[in-house]
Amino acid sequence: MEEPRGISMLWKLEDYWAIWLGFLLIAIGLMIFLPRPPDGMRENINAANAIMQQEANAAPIKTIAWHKANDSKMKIKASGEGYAKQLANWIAHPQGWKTNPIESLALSQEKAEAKNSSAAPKYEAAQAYTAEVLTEAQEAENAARAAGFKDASLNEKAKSAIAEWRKAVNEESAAKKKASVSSYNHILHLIVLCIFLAVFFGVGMAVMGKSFSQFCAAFPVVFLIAVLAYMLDAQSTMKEYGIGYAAWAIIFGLLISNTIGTPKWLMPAVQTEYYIKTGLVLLGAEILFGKILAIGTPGIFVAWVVTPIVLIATYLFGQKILKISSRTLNITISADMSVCGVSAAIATAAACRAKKEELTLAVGMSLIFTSIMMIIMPNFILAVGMDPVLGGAWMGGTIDATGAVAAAGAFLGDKALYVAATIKMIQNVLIGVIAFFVAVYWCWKVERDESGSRISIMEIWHRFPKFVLGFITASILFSILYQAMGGDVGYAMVDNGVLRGFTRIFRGWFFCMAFVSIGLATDFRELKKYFVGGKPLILYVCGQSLNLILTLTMAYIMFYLVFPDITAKI
Amino acid sequence: MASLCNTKMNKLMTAPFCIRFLPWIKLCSGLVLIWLFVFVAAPRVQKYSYIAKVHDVIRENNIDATALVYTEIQEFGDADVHIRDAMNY
Repeated sequence: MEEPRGISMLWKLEDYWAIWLGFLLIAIGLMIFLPRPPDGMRENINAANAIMQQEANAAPIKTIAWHKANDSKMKIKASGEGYAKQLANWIAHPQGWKTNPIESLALSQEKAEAKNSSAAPKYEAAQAYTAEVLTEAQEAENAARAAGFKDASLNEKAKSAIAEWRKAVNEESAAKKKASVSSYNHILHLIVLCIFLAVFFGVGMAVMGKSFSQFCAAFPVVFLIAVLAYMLDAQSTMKEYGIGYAAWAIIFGLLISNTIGTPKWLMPAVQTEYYIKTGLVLLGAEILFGKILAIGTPGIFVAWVVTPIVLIATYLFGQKILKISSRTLNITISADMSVCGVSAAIATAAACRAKKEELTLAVGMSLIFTSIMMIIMPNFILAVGMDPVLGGAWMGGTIDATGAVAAAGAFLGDKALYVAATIKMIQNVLIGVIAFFVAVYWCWKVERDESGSRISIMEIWHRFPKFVLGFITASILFSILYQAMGGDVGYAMVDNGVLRGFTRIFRGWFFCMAFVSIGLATDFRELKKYFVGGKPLILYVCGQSLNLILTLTMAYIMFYLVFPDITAKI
Repeated sequence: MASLCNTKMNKLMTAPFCIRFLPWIKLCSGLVLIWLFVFVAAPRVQKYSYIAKVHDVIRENNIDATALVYTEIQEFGDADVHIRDAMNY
């Protein structure tokens, strides 16, 4: 079918609808959160900063008062306000459960109380232990302070006592969460959300010339499968393995389409591209460029220099050595492996218009390797006695999935977690740049090579996936907003307000429905032909090996040889 | 003869039934396999010490190891604030 050209593209083209819908949600989120900051936000932030400055001037180590001020800042979040919690309830994903799946949708008051009372003894014990180690840390810090922080051994003792207290604080915080479970019932919320989303996407379908009623009739089934995928994502064992909704959505979709077959009446709601593109516009808002400076120059080198080198080298290896027949499969796997797993795969695949089977393959390999690396890397780092900062940077730059990085980092302790998470966060920001350049490269070079003729600038513009513009615009707008507010207010209002409290929840639903659609439209046997000779696997393994070597080398050079002062501050 | 007829009859009766319900049997088998993976195989594999050690940390700290982007996981927000303050102060 000929794509619409001219002004009618703005309402006839799916890419533009993705932009309008994405920006509509972004605008709603901004209108809800920005006028409603937490009470005394700026005063509390300033007070915490003043304490940290005072402590930093007085002591060469991070003191107890410094950490308490830092903790108090972390609690200042717009998403923690009453209105934000109410809103989050209406759009929430299913909650965690272990053996009874109903608990992911509803939990009675009695069951919540039973959970709280069974978790209470552990919480009380954690509280008592925290108080005990706090006293020890306070004594050690007082001794170091009495010596004017000039005695290196007293400073070291204080540092390790404070580190022990921090570990206890984290454990107490986790125990508190388990002992403060509230009852919930998301069934009505999910029904309302389903109706809202059916109309939300249905309007666009109708304007694009498709049937609104057929879409709305089929949509609840896609949404229901998405709910099931989220339920499995929230199951405790699966969460521990890192097998998330993306995998379950594809598996459930594939299971239906390859057994009983996807019924024809369901196809109007099987709209992979539509959901993915709208989700990607929302993802753009989460790509905050200011975050790349979070850990200074070493972070930029580890995440923004090594990653593109690995991406390009892997892609060239796939083209020149392995001779992978599909360029889109090659770039999707390369981006998936070198940047940040599934999210990078989605953005890259959409930017170069990869086939759904190619995205499925990339996502599947990423999930398997992530589950393995999440176990092997922290155990190896611990076994060889690698420094946590180096280990954290290494894991942050190489483990694909964002959640798995947090898990592996936490295994090595706070320092490794903070470094790993920050490196991965900087790498997440790279998604926007990579999606943009892949889209440009594909229109300008790859599609021209395939057609064998020169194409005009207008033709390049016509072929360019327009939703990428929405993605980049959202990213630039939110980056400017974040910078204008400053890191602390931006964290409270944008990062922990509009984004975590609103748009990213919708983005999760849209990606999940896209993966359901991929599964429902994929013939399992089709996947086989993309795996010929095991080339995708060889590409992934070789690329990841290069990634492991380069990231470790760069992290060592940056954190230990060039910028040891930054490492000392962490 | 009567038993042969019965066998043929049975085949005729069962063949369409199988053809008709085979897709549903496959679907149910798939669901059973998923159930076995989630509730039997995965928890067993989890008992190996190297895996158990990492999974225990995830469980104890309630980490969402399935998160796709940094905004889906609270630890990344905490890390952001901590590292920024550690650099500034």
